[in-house]
Amino acid sequence: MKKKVALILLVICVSFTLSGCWSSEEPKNLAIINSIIYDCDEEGNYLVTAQIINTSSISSSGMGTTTDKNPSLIIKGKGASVAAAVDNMTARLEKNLFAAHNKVRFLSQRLVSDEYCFTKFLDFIFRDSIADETSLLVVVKNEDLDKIYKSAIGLATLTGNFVDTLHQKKQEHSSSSVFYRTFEFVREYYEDGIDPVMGQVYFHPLEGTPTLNPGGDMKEAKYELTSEGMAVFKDLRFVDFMDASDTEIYNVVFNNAKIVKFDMFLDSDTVSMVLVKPSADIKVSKKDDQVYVDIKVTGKIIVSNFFIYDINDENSDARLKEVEAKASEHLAKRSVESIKRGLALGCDIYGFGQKFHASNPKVWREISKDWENYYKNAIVNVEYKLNLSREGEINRPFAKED
Amino acid sequence: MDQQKIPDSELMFNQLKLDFKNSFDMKIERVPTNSGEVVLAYVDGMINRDLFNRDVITPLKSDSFAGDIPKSILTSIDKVDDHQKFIIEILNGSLGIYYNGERFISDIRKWEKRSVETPGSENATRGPKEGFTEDLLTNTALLRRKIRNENLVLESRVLGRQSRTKVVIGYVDGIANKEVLALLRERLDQIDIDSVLETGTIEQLIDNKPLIPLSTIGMSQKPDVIASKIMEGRVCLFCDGSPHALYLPELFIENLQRSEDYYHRAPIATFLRIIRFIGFLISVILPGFYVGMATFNPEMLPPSFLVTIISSMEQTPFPEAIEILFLVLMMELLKESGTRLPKALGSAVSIVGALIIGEAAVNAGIVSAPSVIIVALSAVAGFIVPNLNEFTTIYKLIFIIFASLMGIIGLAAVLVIMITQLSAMRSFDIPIMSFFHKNELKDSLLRFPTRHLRFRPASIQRENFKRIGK
Repeated sequence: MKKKVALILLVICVSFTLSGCWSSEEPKNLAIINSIIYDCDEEGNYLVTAQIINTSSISSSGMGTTTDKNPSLIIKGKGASVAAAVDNMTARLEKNLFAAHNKVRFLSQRLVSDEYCFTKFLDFIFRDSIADETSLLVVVKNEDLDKIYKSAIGLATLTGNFVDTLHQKKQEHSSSSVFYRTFEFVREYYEDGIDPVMGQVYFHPLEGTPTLNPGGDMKEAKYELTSEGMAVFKDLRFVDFMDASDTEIYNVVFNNAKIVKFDMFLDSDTVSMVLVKPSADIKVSKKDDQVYVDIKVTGKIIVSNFFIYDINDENSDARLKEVEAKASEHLAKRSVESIKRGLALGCDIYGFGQKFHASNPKVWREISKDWENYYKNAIVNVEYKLNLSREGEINRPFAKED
Repeated sequence: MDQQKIPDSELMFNQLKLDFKNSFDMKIERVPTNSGEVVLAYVDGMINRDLFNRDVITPLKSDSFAGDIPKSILTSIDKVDDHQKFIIEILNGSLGIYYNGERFISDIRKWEKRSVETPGSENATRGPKEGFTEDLLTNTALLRRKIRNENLVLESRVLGRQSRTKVVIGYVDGIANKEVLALLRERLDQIDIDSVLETGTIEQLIDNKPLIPLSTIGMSQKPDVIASKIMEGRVCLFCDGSPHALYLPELFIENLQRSEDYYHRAPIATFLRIIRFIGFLISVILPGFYVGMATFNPEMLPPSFLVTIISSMEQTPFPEAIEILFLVLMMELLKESGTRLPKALGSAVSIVGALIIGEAAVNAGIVSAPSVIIVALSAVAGFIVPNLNEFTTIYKLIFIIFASLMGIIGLAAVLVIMITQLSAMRSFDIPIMSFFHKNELKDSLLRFPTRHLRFRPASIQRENFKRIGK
């Protein structure tokens, strides 16, 4: 009996001491951050702007927001370090900031361009026990980042939700952007033989009359957010942006692309095609101080628009075969050009070093320090093996000539 | 009183008057006959008046009565030598006859009793609808009709010094676990109490851990349930005056099983058992889990749900844990009042409680809507497993208290304690969690098709395992 009592007391004591019951927090005392902008000024001060969900604007019946209250609150903080800026921001709020459900971290180009500032920022994020490492990490291409919160956000009520969903949708409908969460960026930074990238957004003024923004706090949005392209890093140093087209090839190489839409000129007409779920197989080899990169991509292509006047029922199949070959050729050329552009930036964002390390670990140990010189001059060969899929599609052009 | 000396009719009359303390319902009559006086004693309201007049009084008053009681009385009659036994039989409803120094009893019992009805607490969509009544003989007859086998043994004994309640142990000889049977007899022998009015009293007296809020003795009001249980090797117990029959040992998994599981096809029976298990978990853990999550680990809740919680808690005055505890107590109050009140009023109380008080409390900002939903969901889930009601109520409160103090670690600690306690519990020396035997898994949380249930539960059965086939 004494042993039992002792055991129960021990369990209770251990539970109390391990549980950290002092960290209990009533939910109503939390201010939930939906997105944060991190920026820095010329003097090296950090500027933090957070969008906080205004929970009192949510109607008790759960039918959405009430009309008279803003769905969010924008709060700013400034300090010599990120922690100081966040503290400064916290001091202005009667509730405790809760960043675990933060959807997006917007980083200014100024912040990521300054390696020292950017490193300090990452150090803060990974030291903070509450900060969520699964937040989307994006670089904003513009100055004056506050305008993000004055941009149209579709049918969403909060910018963070909008950008997060937009990036996810982009992965399904196109491959022109990358979706990197905080921990994924850092994982690529720590990995050998690969340089990290980050998502990119930019806003631009809306043309014509301001759009009515049904959900956002700005009833009349003056800007529009676009998620396209990516920011390329060498270690933790920002190098440059790559456009939507290059991002598509990046996603193909990484097997992240679900669909790639492209147009091709054929017989002075434009053929619209869709590459579906391409699968890339990369082989990196070295021969006489020369690195060779062979990429073989297999996938299915679908013709979304193919209307050429001289095609009739008889030669339609043959012309489609021709399209298949030309599409492979077109994509291969585009891929080689895009990869070379990426390598020319001095960053191995495609992870060729990682592939080479996996296949030749001994050689990698010898050349890893000079890897930059090798991949910059690598001979890249891309081959597409495409299969034209015509399941459920009509076999002939829309307008049939008599 | 002197057992050897046989008093004459007047002495016996006075003796019986004295024995029954002149109670108004105890009828003691002196009937003059051709061959002297006969003393009749019975409890008014417990004998069949028609039989009494036709088969007892008329033959006694007839001219042909020559003093031979067994031959004259037309009903079954037994001679009793012991005066104390004579008294007890009269109290049990028999007619006591005293003549010329000899005591007889005649079984012409008849009293008002409830007819066989469907038990309200064990409704079933399929299967027999009949239920036990308060009459012991009716109950044993109902069981005997289910198992028409000479091996069905119904052992009678009397419990309660004052109430002298008849208790019957039922089992199938050759199938029943003999160790359990011996243990039951031993524990019944140890009972020394003045009155036993219900099987609930016996249950607590024969259970070795009455403080734990989980009964290790099963209870049912349905003859088909009791019949199936004793055919698995269990032992049942009836008590005169109680429509609830006990069966033992009871394994924990049986709380999640219903008699109709065996009448339905296997897939739906399995699905329903899993639903009951989920219901049990929701009922016990959900309120505590919600408190732990909301106050210690809000990051684990989906953002939109957390926003809803915060928005609905904006105006409420109490901390989350207090709110949930308050609502759980309110729900218990409503449950208790709904159960005790007459049916019509009971449903009115439920409506007032659930709709009016709940909604008004939310609108007034006293409690938040998610808390009401969580507690209501837990209560509704609890109704799925009514047998575990006491267990879920107590552990639900423990979970809430520990979760509010220690969060997820508190929950985990209570969960470990709960599982340890369940694992350590035994029902008549058989571990209640012993349903993990490969043969028993076919009829535990899952229910295999009937043709696969070839063996009786291995944890209960010691011999005669086969149920299907020879």
